[in-house]
Amino acid sequence: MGHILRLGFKHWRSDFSSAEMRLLLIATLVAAMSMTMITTFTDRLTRTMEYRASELIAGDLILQGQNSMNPEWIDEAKRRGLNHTPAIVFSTMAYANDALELSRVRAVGKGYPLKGENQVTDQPYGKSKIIDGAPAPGHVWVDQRVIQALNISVGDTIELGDSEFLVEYILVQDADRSGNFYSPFGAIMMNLDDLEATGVLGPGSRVTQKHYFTAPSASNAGSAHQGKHDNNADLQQIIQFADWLKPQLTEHERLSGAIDSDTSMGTAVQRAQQYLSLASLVAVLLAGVAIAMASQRFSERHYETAALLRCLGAQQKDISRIFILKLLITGIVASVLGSALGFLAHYGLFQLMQGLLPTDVMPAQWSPVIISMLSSLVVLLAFAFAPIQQLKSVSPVRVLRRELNPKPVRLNVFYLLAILAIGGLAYVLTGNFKLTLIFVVGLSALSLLYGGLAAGFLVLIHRISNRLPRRIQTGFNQLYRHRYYAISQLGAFAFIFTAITLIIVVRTDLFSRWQASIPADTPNHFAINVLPDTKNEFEGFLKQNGVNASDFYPIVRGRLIEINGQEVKQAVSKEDNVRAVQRELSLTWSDHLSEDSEIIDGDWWPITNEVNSVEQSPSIIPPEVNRVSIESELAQKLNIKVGDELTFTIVGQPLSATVHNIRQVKWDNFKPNFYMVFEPGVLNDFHHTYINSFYLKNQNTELLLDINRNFKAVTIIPTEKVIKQVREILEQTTVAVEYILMLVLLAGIVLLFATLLSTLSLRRHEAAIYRTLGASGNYIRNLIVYEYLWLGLLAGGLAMLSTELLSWALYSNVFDADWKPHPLLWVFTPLFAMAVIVISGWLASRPVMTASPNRLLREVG
Amino acid sequence: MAVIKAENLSKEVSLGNQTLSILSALNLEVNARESLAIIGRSGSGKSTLLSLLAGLDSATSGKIALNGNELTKLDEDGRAAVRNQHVGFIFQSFQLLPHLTALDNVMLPLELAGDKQAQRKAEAWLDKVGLGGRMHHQPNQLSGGEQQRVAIARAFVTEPEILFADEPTGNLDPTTGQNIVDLLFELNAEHGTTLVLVTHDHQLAHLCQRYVILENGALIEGQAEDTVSPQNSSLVRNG
Repeated sequence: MGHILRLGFKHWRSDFSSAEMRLLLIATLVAAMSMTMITTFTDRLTRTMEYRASELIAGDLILQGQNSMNPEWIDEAKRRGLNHTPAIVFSTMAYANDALELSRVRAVGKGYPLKGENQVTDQPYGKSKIIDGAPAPGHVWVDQRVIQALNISVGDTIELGDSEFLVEYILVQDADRSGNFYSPFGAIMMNLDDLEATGVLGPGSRVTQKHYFTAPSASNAGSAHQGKHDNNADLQQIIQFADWLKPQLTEHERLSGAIDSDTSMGTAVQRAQQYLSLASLVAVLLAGVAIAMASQRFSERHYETAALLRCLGAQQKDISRIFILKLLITGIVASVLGSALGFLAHYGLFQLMQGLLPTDVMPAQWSPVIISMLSSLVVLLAFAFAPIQQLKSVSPVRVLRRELNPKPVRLNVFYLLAILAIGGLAYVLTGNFKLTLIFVVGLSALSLLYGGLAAGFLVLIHRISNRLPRRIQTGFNQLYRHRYYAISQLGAFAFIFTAITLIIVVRTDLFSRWQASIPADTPNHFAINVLPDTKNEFEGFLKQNGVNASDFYPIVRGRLIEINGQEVKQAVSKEDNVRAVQRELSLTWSDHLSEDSEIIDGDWWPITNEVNSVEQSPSIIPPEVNRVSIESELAQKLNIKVGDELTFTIVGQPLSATVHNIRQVKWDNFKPNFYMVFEPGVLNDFHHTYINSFYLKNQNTELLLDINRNFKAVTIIPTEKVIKQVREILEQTTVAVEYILMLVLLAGIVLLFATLLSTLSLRRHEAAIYRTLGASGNYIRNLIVYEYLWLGLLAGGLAMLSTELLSWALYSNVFDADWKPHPLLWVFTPLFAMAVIVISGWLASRPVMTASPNRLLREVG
Repeated sequence: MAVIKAENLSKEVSLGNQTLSILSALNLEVNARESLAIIGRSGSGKSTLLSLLAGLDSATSGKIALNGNELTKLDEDGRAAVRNQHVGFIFQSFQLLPHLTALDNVMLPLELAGDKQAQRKAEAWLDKVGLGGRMHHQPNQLSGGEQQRVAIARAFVTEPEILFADEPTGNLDPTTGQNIVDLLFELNAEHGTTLVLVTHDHQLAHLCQRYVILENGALIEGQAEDTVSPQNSSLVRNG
């Protein structure tokens, strides 16, 4: 077998200069490059984003519970080398200047926050600064609301239980932002060591225990960002610990990670990742088809070689080995080279985006590079295997009779291998089974569709072709004569243009959607605790100052306890981790559906005059039936349908309501959103305050201080930083996507040439005969141009149809977005396809048009 | 002793729903060291007969034995092994691999057999056919006659017992053709190879010790007295 391998290697070297071999090499190189660039880039970016997301919850993992927790869990975390710090959260009265304020106190342990940072200021609404660590013993940081309510300033003292504390700073942003956003209480941060002395926590006190964990080298304890360059092994440790802990948790405890799907951060990152993976998959797929076309041509060009080798005594398995070896060497060279280029390209990408990306990006790892290298080899083998295997069935008699072709490629083997390879890669790249399935099924359907439609078009146009102008008719006849090749060429061309237009359409749609989801005037402040008697006045104040504010929503705190009489805890399994049923919810009522929401089941309640004037007439008669609207994802998780009866407890009082509709909510619009919206009149008698959001240009401190002076109870929460972060992520991904689009285009060009090459020798042969029979160069030029025009028109038409079909499928099934037809696409895709195919076809066929018939005849033998 | 023995050999091909008989119940014996020409008009089935005798193709019925190996009982790989061990080929279109050098082309059958002396033997043979100075040239850098010399070197390099030649001068001008024929018959005599030559050229056929005519799928034995020794032949040169 050694001598066969040596022979294979020798042949590879001598074959290297052939166009097919180079195309195979370039196609594989593009696949490897695309995969390495994307996987390395997304791997690093994802890990960085995970890190940044975990900055928002002050750790990689939070364990939280109402009662004291099993100390063994903490011991186990320490044994695993994880960083840990505890915190206790409770409510108590803060006292100063003869005023009392019910406050939410967070007593934090040494090392808090493990990730992220607290932000404080010295002045009300002053410029905030980042501060390391947490309050020292004897000191507290209090938020604006406490400052207002107790009428204190920085440097004053406040009392908590038996202890007195110096107010060191005004707390602007707690590192842990996972708490309830709409908390009606003021916030105080103190040192855990001071807690006991206050005496506020007696046996049975209602407290929340929190434990923060980070991977061993991921903590920013000590010097800021020290050990930020953690590696996957560290994150693995967090995941392993979480996996170990989850089964032991009771209903009283909850474990949460950095990226929760219901945060705007999480959604943006996940969508961007899915998009990037999809784009790179498209590039790989284009490269795969180019490999299939180039290897078919490669195979055809080697029929003679295979026949001669067979004639000289090579066995079938020798032929397989020689050619598979040639393929393997090509694959190894291309994948190593491609991966190296891809790796360099990803640095280029980071370099390009330097200003947008965080300065500390997680270091690159080997695994994505190696996986990409192997995957590109798999793509090459899967797509080229069937055509190459065809060579072993070449009959040795072909040395005497050239017309003897081998059995055609076994299409079932070809498709099976291609689908397996692409399906596997889709799963590796996206990690999403549904997306993989859509991709593979869509692709298979597309191949069939292309084949069927291309054949149909050809037959249909053939029937009416005699009514077409002569030149156009001649071009079509030329295409029709080559219909066996034309169908596969049409499929390949349609595929290229579908890939390119789909990537552009999805990019444009999704990004404009995401950008639109946080427009320039996205509310960047929330006003909470607006009391009913000051609501109108506050609203007028905002209007007077030209502030663009959202609707006001009343808030009543309540907990969902039963669904159709069954305890809610039984209705939901622990694994589902439905946060909404583990805590008090902010319940609201409204007479109208908010503009960003959509009813997906049931209908909204009718607006009546009485209901409209609900604020003015608090003595409104409650409706006969209590009706509530529920958010769709929660309804799905809890299996709640329209007509179900939900029971809540509000300040200890039960209240039942029938689900009247299910509502889809856009969580990331930075406006007040609610799981439960009641019909007006149901909750009015409960104590409630109002919330709204508004947009302030720049940091208008003057106005905020005015609000502070005139509406003492109102607390303003700025959200500028979160919005900025989300916006940054979107900008980063947009640039990344454009870079990847270039790769898709590159793969498309490789495929384009592979496709043109597949019929070049046929064209050469025909041109030789035409020229010999006296046809002018002009005639042949026209023939080729009109044939390519037809190819472009039909391929563009197919691409346009399939882009619309695929974008519809992707939007409705994967991206959860509304789909609209793209009329511009209908015009531009065929035009673009015609231009590209005619120009590149012209360039590729130039030698055929200008060469002498004698040379052409000699070349084709 | 017969090194090639064909008994009741038939070959049919199906064209759609029609069956076309190319060879029917044909018998042929070729003795060791003998040179035999198969002549016939274009389309008479000469190449088909050659491909069956050489084990390149399988017969519809009948038996073929090559050096005692019954080809009709072997599968394609089995026949390939027989070809590698016992058979050499020369073709009208030379059949050199375009990307390989002359040396690599000659080494090819030896490398397939795993011969460790492939390069030394190939070089020796290229010297012998007068191409010692052009070993590293690729086929497109050689003339037709030179290419056929490379093919002859490749055919003899494995020292086969039987040599099949399909119109070896068909693509060459008369002078070059004559030179090639001289070389071929000289080497054939020197190495005691059995030669089976397919041609439609009667003059070339007469250079062989024996010739048979293929007509309507059957063989007709030629006249022995027509045989001309290659050394004093001027048939090709004058034809």
